[in-house]
Formats: sequence, structure tokens, C-alpha cells
Amino acid sequence: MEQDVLLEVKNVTKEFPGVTALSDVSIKIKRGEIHGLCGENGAGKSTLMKILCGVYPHGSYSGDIIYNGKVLRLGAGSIHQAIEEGIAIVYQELTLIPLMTVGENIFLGKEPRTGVGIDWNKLYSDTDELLKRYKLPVSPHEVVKNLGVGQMQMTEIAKALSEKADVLILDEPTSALSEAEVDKLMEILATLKSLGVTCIYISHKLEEFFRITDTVSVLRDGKVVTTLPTKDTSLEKLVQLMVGREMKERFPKGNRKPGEVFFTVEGLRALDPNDPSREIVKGASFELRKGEILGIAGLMGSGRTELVTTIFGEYGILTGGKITLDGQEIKIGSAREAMSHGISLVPEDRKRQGLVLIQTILQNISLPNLDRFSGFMRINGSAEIAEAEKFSKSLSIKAPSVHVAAESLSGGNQQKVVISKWLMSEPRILILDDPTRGIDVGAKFEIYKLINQLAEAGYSIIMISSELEEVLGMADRVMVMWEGRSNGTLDIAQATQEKVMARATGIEIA
Amino acid sequence: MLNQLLGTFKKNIRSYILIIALVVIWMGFGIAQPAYLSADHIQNIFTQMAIIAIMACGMVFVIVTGGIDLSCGYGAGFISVVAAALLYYQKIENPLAAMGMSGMTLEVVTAIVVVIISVGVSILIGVFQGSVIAILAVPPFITTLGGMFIWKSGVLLVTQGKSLFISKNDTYKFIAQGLLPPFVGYVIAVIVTVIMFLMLFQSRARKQKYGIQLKSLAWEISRTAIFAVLLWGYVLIVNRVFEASPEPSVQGVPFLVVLLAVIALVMNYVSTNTRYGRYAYAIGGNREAARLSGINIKKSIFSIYVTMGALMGISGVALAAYVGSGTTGAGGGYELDVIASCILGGTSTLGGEGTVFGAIVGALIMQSLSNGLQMMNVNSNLQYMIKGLVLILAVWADISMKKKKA
Ligand SMILES: Nc1ncnc2c1ncn2[C@@H]1O[C@H](COP(=O)(O)OP(=O)(O)OP(=O)(O)O)[C@@H](O)[C@H]1O
Ligand SMILES: [Mg+2]
Repeated sequence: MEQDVLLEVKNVTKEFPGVTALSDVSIKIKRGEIHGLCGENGAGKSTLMKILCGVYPHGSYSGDIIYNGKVLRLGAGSIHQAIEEGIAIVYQELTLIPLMTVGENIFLGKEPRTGVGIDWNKLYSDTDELLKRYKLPVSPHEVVKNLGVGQMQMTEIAKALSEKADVLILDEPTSALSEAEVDKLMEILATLKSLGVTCIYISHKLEEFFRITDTVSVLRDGKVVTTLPTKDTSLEKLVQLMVGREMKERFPKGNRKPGEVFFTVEGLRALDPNDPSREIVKGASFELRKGEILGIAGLMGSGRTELVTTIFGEYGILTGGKITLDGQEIKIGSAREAMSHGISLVPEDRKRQGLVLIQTILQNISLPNLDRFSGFMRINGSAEIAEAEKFSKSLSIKAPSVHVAAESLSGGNQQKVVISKWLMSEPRILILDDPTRGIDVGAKFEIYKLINQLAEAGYSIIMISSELEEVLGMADRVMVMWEGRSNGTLDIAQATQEKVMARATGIEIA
Repeated sequence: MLNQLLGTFKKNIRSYILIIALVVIWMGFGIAQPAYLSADHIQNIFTQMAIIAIMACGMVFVIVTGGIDLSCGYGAGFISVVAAALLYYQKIENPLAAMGMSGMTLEVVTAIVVVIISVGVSILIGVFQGSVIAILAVPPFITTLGGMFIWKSGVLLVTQGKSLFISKNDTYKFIAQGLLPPFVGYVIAVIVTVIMFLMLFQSRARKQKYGIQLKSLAWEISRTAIFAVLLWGYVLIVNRVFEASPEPSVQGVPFLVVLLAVIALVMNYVSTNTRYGRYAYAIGGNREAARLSGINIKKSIFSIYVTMGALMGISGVALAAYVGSGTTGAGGGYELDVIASCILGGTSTLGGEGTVFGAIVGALIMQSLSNGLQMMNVNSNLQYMIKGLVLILAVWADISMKKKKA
């Protein structure tokens, strides 16, 4: 049996100033298996993966990584070494260069050459082949900044697969993917497995573990709680192991009584600001009531994000349609104007749009809310801290204090900071673009509760999610988008997975 | 408790390292050249660095937002020759005299009007550059590079190739050359000390009210006490209490140093306790996130360049008063000292990070170095080389320290 182990983590401990991210962790990864890794936000999953691929080099942690029977000693600052060893990783946070094309990104640092120059033809044809082989729906020539998060994620995966990998590490690859894309990824993983690639798979969507993993390890507070064969466990049991208590339901019951319609969008059309020949919103209409949660469902690329960012005044060039608030037509030209109408948006990409990474949790949370803490000049620092700590506590942001930099937080905890920032602003309309991306089940529940509370207090919520289940679990009504247009709104009572999918795929047209 | 003190020290190691570097420089030169630590020389260092440091207070914000101001050297030079020209050609004095003013009143009013006009012009310069950068979206580097040429020309046009002497107006020269009577220095020191401690306790009380965890009292008191000791040490030295029979004419805190201190305190306060400051850091840290947070980026950037303009004007006014004339080369190259001070003081050229306090200490280090080298009779042609190397070394040390932490 022993020779079956490809990669062994042996008594690894890793500390950051003030935080022990991993304490005495031991895990054995068998050759050829798909090994799932789950745990709450900040449990240490990403830290462990960064050790495996040399981001934290040998010597910066105690304990050993034994790979192919030898102690793995990756030097500082050379991730290439890990790639040479056959260890590839798709990081939790996107690492693509926004102004380069998909092809350039995939072959960054290993461009095919013709003598001194780059062989662009080969680069793009290789990219094309790679994307086709794994059926990834991305164009090699597209500039990355024009892609949605889901497509960026696909590009990241393609990048990792472009080298021969013996071990492929996927850190929350599906957090931004919609169901259909998740299915595709599962297929890819099955193919890779049949080719003998060993895979370490991290996710907060626990169902996925039961679809593909052979073994699951649970981390809690930097320690391994258990490692067990997937077939010997269940979803409920995993949750319990992760959060340390039982969770009866995934969605809290709300007690909402939606009121009058006060916000409407009619026949909105908009062009892509980066490429005005392309129409990104092709007619979207919906109404929003006071105190309701309106879910927006749709496939990746159906224009959900484009629609809400256009409403928020920050993306598309409006060419038609109108937006009314309290019966008055309004024009929104920027985030600032939107906020002055009481509309806030939790953006989809926390790193690029949500956070100032080098600033503290406190500074990030209060950034859009400074007016309320300010007199004529002075910011009331104590009130600011007290308020931020309140949110930090209720969403259980895992950090030594609110005065630590956002960049030192785990991915899920960063997401909680972004949500806090906008919850604090108490807008009349809160637009959430995939708000629970990368958040663990326990904390999700807390966020749902807060969203419910807001709605009960009369605020209105528009919620996009990559998980259909989340929309169905939370919303009062579901608006379905299909190819840039709204394809009807369903009451939650009649909205089933099938009905929503029929609309999202255009099988049924409103 | 000692552990706690050490812990806090480690966290703020950056600012302390700067101060330690400063002390080391002073001690090194002091041992080699005892005159370096004389009251005369200490007065000199502080007065000379003030002109750079005042601009550095504004430059920190500019760099924090991810910008740069290359024009501030010649800009300050331009303001200095404008002020000198107004005085030299008696453009203000004559009309005022015609209105019946004379003697001391005439001199003081003239000086005040000249200052107001000069700073007014510099604010207009700030408005101009700020609009080009914020509204027309021309990159700061280019706008201010252009500004640098423009104000250089301005200097030449105003001076017409000659030096404009400010011979008659001593009130004006007081701005940079004047010393406050010793008792005023003491009064200021007492007031500042009291305020520092009051603020300490007030802020603790406020934090307590909101149930925020407090830092150790011993640490906060010792930190404030160290500042008080430094302040008193400085005041006592420049008031020459350690000298047997000082000349009354050289005793006292320079007015310019008090001016700098006020500006620095205000800007430091602004940087952390107002929206203006907080938005600047957010914009520099992640412009897109700042915009999506509803910050009016154009307004923020614009006001930062206007402030920079005003501070440049104050420096220019002080420069004319310090030199006692408006000269053809006024202000040239100052922008590099200002930028170097900020960077030495920990301002990141990538934006988002930097403190006013650091920039002041940075300016002090640069000045202490050049004065010391001068005193040691180091070939003046070599001095820039040494300063340049120190700058590179400091930033490298900082970067490698950060890496180690991660
Ligand atoms: N560079 C850093 N500096 C300081 N602390 C850090 C740093 N990186 C991670 N941490 C801390 O280490 C702990 C583990 O973080 P890690 O990113 O491994 O969590 P995770 O399990 O991947 O969580 P998530 O599900 O949210 O992605 C967290 O408490 C985090 O705050
Ligand atoms: Mg993680």
C-alpha cells in the first residue's frame, strides 16, 4: 500500500504573524486519486496548497513534504521548480494579466519561439487546440479583461493543463462557475484521472466531492480533522466535521412581506464599452418591490453581470430602455450616482473591484460609508471601528483584528469583507453579484440571514448567483436571463430547476 | 509588559527604523565633527530642510494616489521670483504708500499682500495642473513634466536673467530667517505637550466608550513622552540654554520650522482622519474598487493637486525669504529632493502607501546627510552620488524586509 502514496504531507506547521495557519498537518495523497479538501474559510486549505507548489518555499514552514519518496525542497521565488516536478496549480484568486489575450496568458513565460522572436501562429494554434481538447468555451484571441470571471477561471485551468502535470491542484475552481460549466469541469477531471493525473480538489460546494473525489480530508482551524474515503461519508457528515456542529437547513426561513413596486427596468439595451459593435444587453425588463429578494438566474455569459453593472452606471453604453425609481425616470452614469439613488452593488470580482488589498479590513469596510462617520471634516474613528467590528463579528471574519490588511485574509474571508462593506451602506436596493462565492457553508448561512433581515426591514435585494439552488433558496421571484435578454420572471412557488433551466436555455420563451 | 512594548515596536518597526537611522547619522557626524551637533548647525538643518519638507507634505498625497509632481521645484522657484519681483519692483509697496501707509505698517502689510498674491498664484497653478490631470486625464507624469518646463520659463521671464534682491523688507525675510523669542518657543512647547497628552487620553476615553480594545497605557504614554522629550530637547537647544553666554540674536525657534510643524500636523491629521485623506489612499490602492465604492475620483485627485500647488507656493515664498532674492536658478532640482524624501520616508511609488510623518523624517535625513558631507569636506561633486546611493539602499532594505515578513 505504501508505494501507492505519491505525495505525503508530514507534520507541517506554518505560521504567519499572529496566526497559525497550519498546525501539525499530515495528509497522504495516493497516486491517481482525486483528493478533496474541505474546511471553513481560513482553515488553511490555500496555505497548504501554496506550500505544495512552492509559493511558501522549503524552510518557511516546519515539517516535510514527501513527493515520489523524496523530500520536496522547493526554493524561494521559483514556482517553475514545482512545474518541473510536475505539480501544477490553479490558484483560488485569478492570476491572469488583464491586458493580454487568453493565448498570451496561457503561454506566459513559455512562449513558443522562432529563433529570437515569438512564434505567434504556433502559440495561438496550440491554445486553440488546448481549449478545444478540453472543450473550454473561450476564444484564444480574446483579451482577458473582457472575459467574465467564469471564462477567466477556464483560462486558468487551461493554463495549468498546458504543462504536463502529474499532480494538479485546483483551489476552488468552481466558485465562479455555473452548473453547466461545473459539469464540464467534472468531465475534464474524469478524463485527467483516466490519464493517471493525481488531483487535489478544494471546494465549498460540497456536493462536488461526492461526484468526483475518492478521498476527502477535512481541515479545521489549521488541523486535519479526518481523512476518509468519500463513499464512507455523507454531505451532512462533512458539514458537521467542517463546522463542528450540525446544520439542519441550508437556507434560513425568511418572513418577508414584499410591498409595492418602486423600481422598474424596461427594455434596457446596452453596448459593450470596449467594443461598441457588440450588444451585451438586448432588452431586459423587470420590476422590484419593496422588501423583496429578486433572484437573477441564467447561464454564464447570459448577461447577468452586464445587466446589473449597466444599471449601476459602470459598464454598458445605454442605447435604449428606461429605469424608473419611485415613478420617476432616472439616469445613472456612475457608481456615485447610483449610490446617491440608494443603489449599491457587491461586485463579482473581489480582488479587482471589491477590495483595496493593501488596506485593512476596517478601511475597506468603511470606504463607501465614510460620509456617515464624518462631521464636517473629521471622521469619527471610534464609531467607525465599532461598526466595522460589529460586521466582522456577525459574519465571523477570521482575522486577529480589523486592523490587518485584507490581502492577508483567506479568500472567503475577503469576500465577507466585501459583503460587509455594502451591507453597512444600507442601500434601498442592494445588488449582489454572486455574493457567496468561495464562502463556507456555515458563513453562507449567516450571510443569508443578514440578507433576509435587510429584506424584512424593507430593503430590496437583487441577487445573482452561480448556484441556481441559492437563487431558488433565497429569492421571492426569479428573473431568468437568456442571451442578453430577460426571459420572464417566475414566482418562487412555480420556479423549479427545470423551469428555470428551460428559460435559461431558451427552450421556453416568455 | 515589556513583551507587549516589544511587540508594538516590531509592528511599527518601519517608522522607528527611520528615526534610528536619523539618530545614527547625527551621532556619526557628531563624533567626527562635534560642530555638527552645535545649536547653530541644528538650527540650520531644520531651516534648510523645511522648504523641501513643506512640499513633501503635499507630495506624499500625490504619490499615494499613484501620481507624481515633477513641476514643484520650478513651480516653487517661479513663486519665489514672483514674490521677489513684487518686492523688488515695489509693486505692492508703492500703491500702499500712496494710500498713506508708512513705516512698519507699510512693511508688514506689503509682506502679507505679497504672500497672499504668491500663494494665490500657486493655487492657480495647482488648479491648472489638477484640471489637466483629473478632467482631461493627461497622466500626472506628463502634465507636471510639461509644468516643469513652463515654470522654468516663468522663472526666466520674471527675472530677466538677473537677481531680484529683497533688501528693504525684513518682515518678509522673517518668514524664513526669523527666530521666535525664546519664551514663545517655551509657550509653544508647553501647549503642544499638554495637547498631546490631552489627545491621548481623550482618544482612549472615546475608544472605551465604543468598547474598542485599548493599547497598553504604558506604551501610549511612553510614546507620547518620547515625542515630548524630543520637542523639548530641540527647543532648549535652539534657545541656547546650554550655552554660557549666548548672543540674543541667535536664540529661538525658527519661524519657518513652526510653520512646517503646523503644516505637517495638519496634513498628517488630514491623511488619517478625513475623507480627503482616506480617499487618496483608497484611490492609490485600487482605483477601480475606489470608484465602485462611490468615490468621486476626479474631485479627489483635483483637490490633491490644488493642495500641492498651495504648499508649493508656501515653499516658494519661504525660498525667496531664505535666499533674500529671486534668482534665475530658483527651485531647480528641488522636486527630486522632495520625491526622494517621500520615498525614503516609506511612500510607495506604486501608490496607496506613505505617511506625512515619514516624509518629514525622510527630508530630515536627506538634509542631515548633505550638511554632514559638506562639513566633512567631502567633494561636493560626490554628494549627489552618496545621496542617490543612500536612497537606493534604503528602498532595497525596505523591500527585502517586507519580503521576509511575508
Ligand atoms: N500572507 C498572510 N499573512 C497573514 N496571514 C495569512 C496570510 N495568508 C493566509 N493567512 C491566514 O492563514 C489562515 C489560513 O488561510 P487560507 O488562505 O489557507 O484559508 P483557506 O482555508 O484557503 O480559506 P478560504 O476557504 O477562505 O479560501 C487564515 O487565517 C488567514 O488569515
Ligand atoms: Mg483559500
